[in-house]
Amino acid sequence: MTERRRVYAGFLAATLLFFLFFFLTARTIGDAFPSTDTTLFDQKLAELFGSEDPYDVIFVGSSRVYRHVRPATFDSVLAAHDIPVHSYNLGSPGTNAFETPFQLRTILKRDREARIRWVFVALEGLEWNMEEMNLASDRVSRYFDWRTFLRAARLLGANETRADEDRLAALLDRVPPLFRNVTAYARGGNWLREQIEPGRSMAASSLARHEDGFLSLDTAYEYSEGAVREDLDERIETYTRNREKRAFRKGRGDTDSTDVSHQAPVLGDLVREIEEIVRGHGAEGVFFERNFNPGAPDLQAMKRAGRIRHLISLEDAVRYPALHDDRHRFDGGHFGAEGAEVLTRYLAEAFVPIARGNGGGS
Amino acid sequence: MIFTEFRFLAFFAVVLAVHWALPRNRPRKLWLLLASYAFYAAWDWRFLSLILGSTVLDYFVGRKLDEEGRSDRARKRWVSLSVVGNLGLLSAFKYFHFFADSALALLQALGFHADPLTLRIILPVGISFYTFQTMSYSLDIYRRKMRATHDILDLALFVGFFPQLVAGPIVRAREFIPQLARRRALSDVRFRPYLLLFLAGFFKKACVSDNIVGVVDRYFADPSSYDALSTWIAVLLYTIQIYCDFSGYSDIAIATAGFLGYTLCENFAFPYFSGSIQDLWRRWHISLSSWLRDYLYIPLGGSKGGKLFRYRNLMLTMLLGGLWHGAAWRFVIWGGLHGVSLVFHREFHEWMERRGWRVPSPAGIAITMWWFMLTLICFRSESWTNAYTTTRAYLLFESPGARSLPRELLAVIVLLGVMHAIAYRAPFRGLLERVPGPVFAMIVGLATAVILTFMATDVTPFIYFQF
Repeated sequence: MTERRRVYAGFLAATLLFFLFFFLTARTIGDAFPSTDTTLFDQKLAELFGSEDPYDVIFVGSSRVYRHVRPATFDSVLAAHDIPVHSYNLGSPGTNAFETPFQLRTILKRDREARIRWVFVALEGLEWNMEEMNLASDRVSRYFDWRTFLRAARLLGANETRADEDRLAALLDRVPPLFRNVTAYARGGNWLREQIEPGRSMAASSLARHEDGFLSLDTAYEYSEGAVREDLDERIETYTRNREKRAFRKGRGDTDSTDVSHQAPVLGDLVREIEEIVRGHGAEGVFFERNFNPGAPDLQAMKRAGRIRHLISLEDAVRYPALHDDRHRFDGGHFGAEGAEVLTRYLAEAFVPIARGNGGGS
Repeated sequence: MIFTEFRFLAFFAVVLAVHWALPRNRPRKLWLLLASYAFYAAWDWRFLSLILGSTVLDYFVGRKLDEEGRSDRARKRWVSLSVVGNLGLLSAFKYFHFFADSALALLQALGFHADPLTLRIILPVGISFYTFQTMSYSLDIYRRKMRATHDILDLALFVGFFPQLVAGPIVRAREFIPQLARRRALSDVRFRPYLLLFLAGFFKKACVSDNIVGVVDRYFADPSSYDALSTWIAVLLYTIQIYCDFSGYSDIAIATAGFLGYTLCENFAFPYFSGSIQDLWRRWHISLSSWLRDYLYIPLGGSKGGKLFRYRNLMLTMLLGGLWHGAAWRFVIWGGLHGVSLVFHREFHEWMERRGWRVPSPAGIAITMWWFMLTLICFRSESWTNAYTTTRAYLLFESPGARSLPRELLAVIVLLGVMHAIAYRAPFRGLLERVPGPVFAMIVGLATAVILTFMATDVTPFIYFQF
């Protein structure tokens, strides 16, 4: 080997070792620091697995799970059908569909005794909640790994309703969260600052007044103050204004104007992964939907294609008129306490045959 | 563009690659000058005209000063042009409001009616640094310590060289310009020490300073609401913050210049291990203190003459040094406090020497730190009331309020102190330079991951940018 080749080989070896140690260290120490953006979810996890009366049913999704599914109601409806369950609401505001597999892995990894038997999953739109501010957050960086990045890239590539430059810009916007994910960027720093400046992050929250992870928006409003109250007031005002203008869109179930067919390959991929995670744990997955956003994923198409085993759709306005009654709404995207109660009852009733078919009760 | 931003790293990677790819010295210098101006323009391109103006002024002044047969009187006139030009620039952009507001306050105190001046002038980043650098060029030629450069490119690069452009170190022309004369060779660059220095600087700025700035700001916004222990915690943290911020920046500046083949002077030499206030000023912001010594203290008469004359020179130097840090009376007072302490130290030192006594080293370090921290209260406080409240709590351990900062911060302070002491002793520095390449690569990989993990998410501007 010539001297020059030896130098190049040495440089190459050193570079490889640098990256190897860099990624190993980042992975090891990065995972040691909890996110400061997911305090509510972490608190719920602690409560779920700290309970003396173990839970066997969980609900995972966004605020439309958190604010809509009341475990106490769900359990009582099923108990009336002689199906004893103990359920917990793990819904977390802002949960994107891409985040769901990450959340499920996090949850089920902690269920060492495999007590969870049913996992209810509600998926938000695949292109929802991906604004620049969120992409820069620690929370997104936690799940935005290579696989998620490639899925996001595929989704953008397939979305021909957006201009090429727009798609390229959106793709570039998704590089920083990937970088933060693989390098564990600022995780220790964020954690440290949260310790020395408690309450610095927006995620500081408490499970007070929650029941099994659920808190209706009406109750949240009743006890809210300061910026939270202002935010809720604004939501109500916006909803009222839009309703008066008749500009409020009720969701994909109510309008056919949004074409989400381009999402199918990525959605199929995502659904398969969710099913694998849940079944790999020995549990059963149940997808459910009552969407408010026009861009919501087409789970019924997935069901027809045989990719989803259990789907409970509450979109049909004829079968579930109360879920399409504006009086039950709190704001444009959520039900209030009464709506949550109604939705949970419908959900539980629809689940009864599924539970029976799977030996969930007598 | 801040050194700890990723866009700077990308910028620097391009600059470095092109610099070493260029085969000849002149294109390299031209490339570095363009890169430096682009770096500065990333803040505000309009202020490039000030750097260009200062460069052209001192280029012509330098040529005139260097001409054979020029009388001393004529030379004095030419050097005055440089000093007046550069100080005029600095005064106009940095001290205009200070003098105008002070004059206004004085007139109003004397019962005169005076309208506030409405002219608002923005402070150009790094003006305090590059005006001092250009001035030193003309002053050194005037004192015949160096010859004028005939190549304006060399002078422009000396003034605008991006690693030290906005926050120092304040480089001397006679140390930097000769380095531009010959083509730098990549094989001459000692990458390992510069890489370690770069990582150390990055850690100090991005992982330490930026992470504690929030607590410090919170305390100093309302010191009257905190207890005495919180005052001590906040002052200690500010002492750490200002050191890590500024010395971290200097480390990165020296390292980036080093990667390009240029040597910049050391700016900090573990000042918090100083045994006396005099020692501290030999280790803290060395490029500024030596500049003030050479171009202000010594021309004023230095240590020659009687005691009172010496102390007058010292006080003037420190007061102006304080004013250099910012256009506010609190910086002047800060400089004055250091002037007084230096005078006191000299008297005390002589008194001790006459008796053959010495202050034990740990006691000297503790007293120096205690005093330095006390002066920093004035430096940091945003109002005289806040400065008074904090000083009282610091000195008397009185609690003006009931709120408290997290006590866990004491553990952070101790941990940082231990890390600093280990770095001071540097038991591994030589070892790191000797280990085989692959092992070094693994260590750097590990250190980079730790730094990225502990970086603060919100990048805050460097403290010294405003000085």
